[in-house]
Amino acid sequence: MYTVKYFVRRIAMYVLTLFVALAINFILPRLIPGNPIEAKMVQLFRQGVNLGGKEFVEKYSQLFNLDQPMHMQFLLYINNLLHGNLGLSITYFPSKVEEMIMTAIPWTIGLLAVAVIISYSVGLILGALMGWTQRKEKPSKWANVFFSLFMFLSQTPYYILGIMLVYLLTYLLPLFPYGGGVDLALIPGNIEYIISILKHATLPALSIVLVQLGGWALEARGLMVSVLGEDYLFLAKAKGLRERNIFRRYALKNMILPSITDLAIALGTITSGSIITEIVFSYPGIGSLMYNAVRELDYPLIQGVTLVVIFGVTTAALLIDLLYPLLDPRVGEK
Amino acid sequence: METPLLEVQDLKIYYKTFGAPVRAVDGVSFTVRKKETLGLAGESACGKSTLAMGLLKLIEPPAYIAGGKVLFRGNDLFSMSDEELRKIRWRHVAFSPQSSMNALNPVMKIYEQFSDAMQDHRFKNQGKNPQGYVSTLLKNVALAPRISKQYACELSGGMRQRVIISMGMALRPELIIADEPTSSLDVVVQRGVLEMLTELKEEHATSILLVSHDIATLFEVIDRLAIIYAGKIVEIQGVFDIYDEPLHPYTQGLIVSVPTFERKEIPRSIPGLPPDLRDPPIGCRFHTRCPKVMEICKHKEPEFKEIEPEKFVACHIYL
Amino acid sequence: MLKSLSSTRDLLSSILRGLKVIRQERKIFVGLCIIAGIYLVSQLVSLISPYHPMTMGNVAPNLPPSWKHPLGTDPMGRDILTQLFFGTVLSMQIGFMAGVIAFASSLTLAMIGGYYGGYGDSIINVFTEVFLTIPSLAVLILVAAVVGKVEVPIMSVILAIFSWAWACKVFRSQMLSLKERGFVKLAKLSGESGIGIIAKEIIPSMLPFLGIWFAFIVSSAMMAEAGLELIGLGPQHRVSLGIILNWCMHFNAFTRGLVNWWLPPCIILITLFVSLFIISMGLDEIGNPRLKGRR
Repeated sequence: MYTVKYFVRRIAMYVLTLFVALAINFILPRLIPGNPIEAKMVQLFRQGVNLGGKEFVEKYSQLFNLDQPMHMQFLLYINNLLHGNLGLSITYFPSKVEEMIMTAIPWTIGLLAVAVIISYSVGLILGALMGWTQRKEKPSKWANVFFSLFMFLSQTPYYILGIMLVYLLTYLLPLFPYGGGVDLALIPGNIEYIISILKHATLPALSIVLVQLGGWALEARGLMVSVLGEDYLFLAKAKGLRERNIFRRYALKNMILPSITDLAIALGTITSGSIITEIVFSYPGIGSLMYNAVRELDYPLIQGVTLVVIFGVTTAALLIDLLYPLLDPRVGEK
Repeated sequence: METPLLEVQDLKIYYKTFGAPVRAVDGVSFTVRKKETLGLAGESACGKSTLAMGLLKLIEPPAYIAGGKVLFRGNDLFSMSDEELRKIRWRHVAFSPQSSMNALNPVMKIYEQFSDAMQDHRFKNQGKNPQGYVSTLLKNVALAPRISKQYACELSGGMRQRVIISMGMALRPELIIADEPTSSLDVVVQRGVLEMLTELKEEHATSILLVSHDIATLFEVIDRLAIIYAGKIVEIQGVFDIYDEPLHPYTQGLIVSVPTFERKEIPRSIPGLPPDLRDPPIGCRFHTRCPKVMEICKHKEPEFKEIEPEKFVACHIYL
Repeated sequence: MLKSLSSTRDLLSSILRGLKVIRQERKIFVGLCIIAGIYLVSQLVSLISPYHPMTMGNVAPNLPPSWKHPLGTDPMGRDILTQLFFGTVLSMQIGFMAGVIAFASSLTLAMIGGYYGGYGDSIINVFTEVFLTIPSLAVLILVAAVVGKVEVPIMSVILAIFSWAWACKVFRSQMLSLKERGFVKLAKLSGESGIGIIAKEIIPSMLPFLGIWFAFIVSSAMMAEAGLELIGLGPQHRVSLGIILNWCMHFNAFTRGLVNWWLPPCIILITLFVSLFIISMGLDEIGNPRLKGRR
């Protein structure tokens, strides 16, 4: 059962992972030769903006702590982080990075949470049912059709499905709007606003859901097939239990557990995919923020977003790992 | 003559392969009466486990029922609908499988695995206190009642086996089919299980079909013994008769192979190997290993007959 | 079927047997044919095409499909068909290279760590777990942004760094369970060296499994590659399928209905991923005949 050792070990991994992420996040941008302020200034200069000469560079280098030795910078960085200070964006100066992220995050979380919940639960049930049909002698035709369908769907990257959906439902049949999270002309709060949010979110969510659903369904089917061969299923049949109860309590319950672990592992990939999807749809979440940051080489912003994403995914995975032993009595002892 | 509790008529269970099917159970007939314990003995891979599972149609592909009938209290189990058969399973005929290590649901508490069977069979006899009933059942197999709140992973193999056996008794079935209930247990636990089976027989008047390769253990609890060889039953007699006067040469070989304190002879094993059941030998299936083989044994299969009251044998010596 | 190897002749006969299996297993065969076919056709077209895929303005822009330009031309004055096949070749090369690097490194680390155990194994294990949890794309974006102008080999290495973690974990746990099996202990007793055991006993018994994961790694490397290029990171100076989609995005090809431009790369990408998946399904059936369904 649940032991302190498991708990401690898991949290230790978590802290270590965060630390490595922080280090990578910190070191990488500083590997570029030259001063990013200077580089930015030169870039802006070419576009016809003159921000002043050396004094400008010095002043802003100070502001971004670039004049300090490396280890000092790292410590200052950590200190800032603990205070929730992610620095200032270079492109959108003087906006604070953490504020920009806070504006974008609700969109991403809303999209992701809804998409993952729908695709995981629906996909799992469909896959379980598909696998359950293997119990009978005659193979179910529907199960095979769905199987092929899901196979194709699950191998499509979200963004490609997104592109197709944009074409089909924005251009061919203008049912949905393209770009943005909501019609900015509307007043926040009333029903029209909410409907607009939903309409804008449908296509990106659909891209993610359709692909993921296929993946979870296939996984669930495989898990169910392996559970079907277990001795306890045999005993359940010998006990003369009703099929419905065997499905729910013996098959389903046992089958879900490994998929939860896989969910924790997959969170990273799912988030990555949704970032790109957001970019395709110009959805105002973390993804688009990251895209703009990359285009402008706005390092504080890139760093900030990367950090938040890593932190979010790692924490979610940690929570799942900590809650898992509550569901599976066999785990939690190592 | 009372209707026997269980009557098996010419049961055939085969396994589908790419070529000829494996004839694991090839025309087996026997009966189990009320309050009787019938042992079913044979070497490994002789078809006895397949037979035990097939009685309640619990076999899975590639095994299939190729013929025969199984009558429980006069009702043909094979012609019933799935739902009717479901109602008979466990409630009237309980099957206790061979390996218990993974037979319990890992994510359900032990108590729940008792209660779900009681619920699905609308069992009322446990009275107002189902918890107490389950506790009593567990105590009967020498397990502490607090086990009912635990999970399978917290129990040892021997404990799991006892839980399953006690689960089989929970609905007070008329017949228990126990497939090698003691094979994976140490001798101490074995004794406990055997004593429990004896108690079942004497106190609750349950009939038991006990399948095992361990004849020595069987002798302790059974009333009658059936010997199965290469998918066919070769002899059925009362336990004392079969010990004193085994009829079939195979049975004779088996009895001699069991070490005892009384007999002075050194136990001998039967030379040779059982035949391939995809292509069984013509004539008597035992003739290649039989010390008393005759010419007719190589061509004609001996009929399974009751040569004297309560003495069944399939051997040309007696026909 | 796949047992230990003890000589070169054994190796050769095993390879021949393996090829025969591949030909018999429909799924693997079909998948491989599709992938090989796509690559060969693309390579061929890229060699014989009279147009340059990247030089802007070498043909008239925005032309609809015609005999001269089967897929038309893009807004920057380039033949789309040429773009497509050059892009396919490059995408497949990068993806495959990244897959090989990731596969080789994760297998080596997993085998050594799992077999020898001890401190080294603990370090490798922790290392793998950390990489596994960190969402690769976030860091990939950071890395690609930092590195700036990316060459093909660097791109492959970057992609490999983030595809290897899951495979390494799986290989390692497989190694741990195989280590205890009879045939491995037997080889140890007969004096076989550690590396020898790994190469001759353990790996051959895992072949279908390894094949499945190789297909998976290549597939995810290609997906990550296309994704990165779509958002503008990657080798900008050469054309690949992702870069094509990036241009499409810039020119709003999706909302302008320029199906001839954005659809073919999508189709090719999907076909490649599905083929890889079919191959891994076929390999799975070899290793796990139960999945073939009841006959």
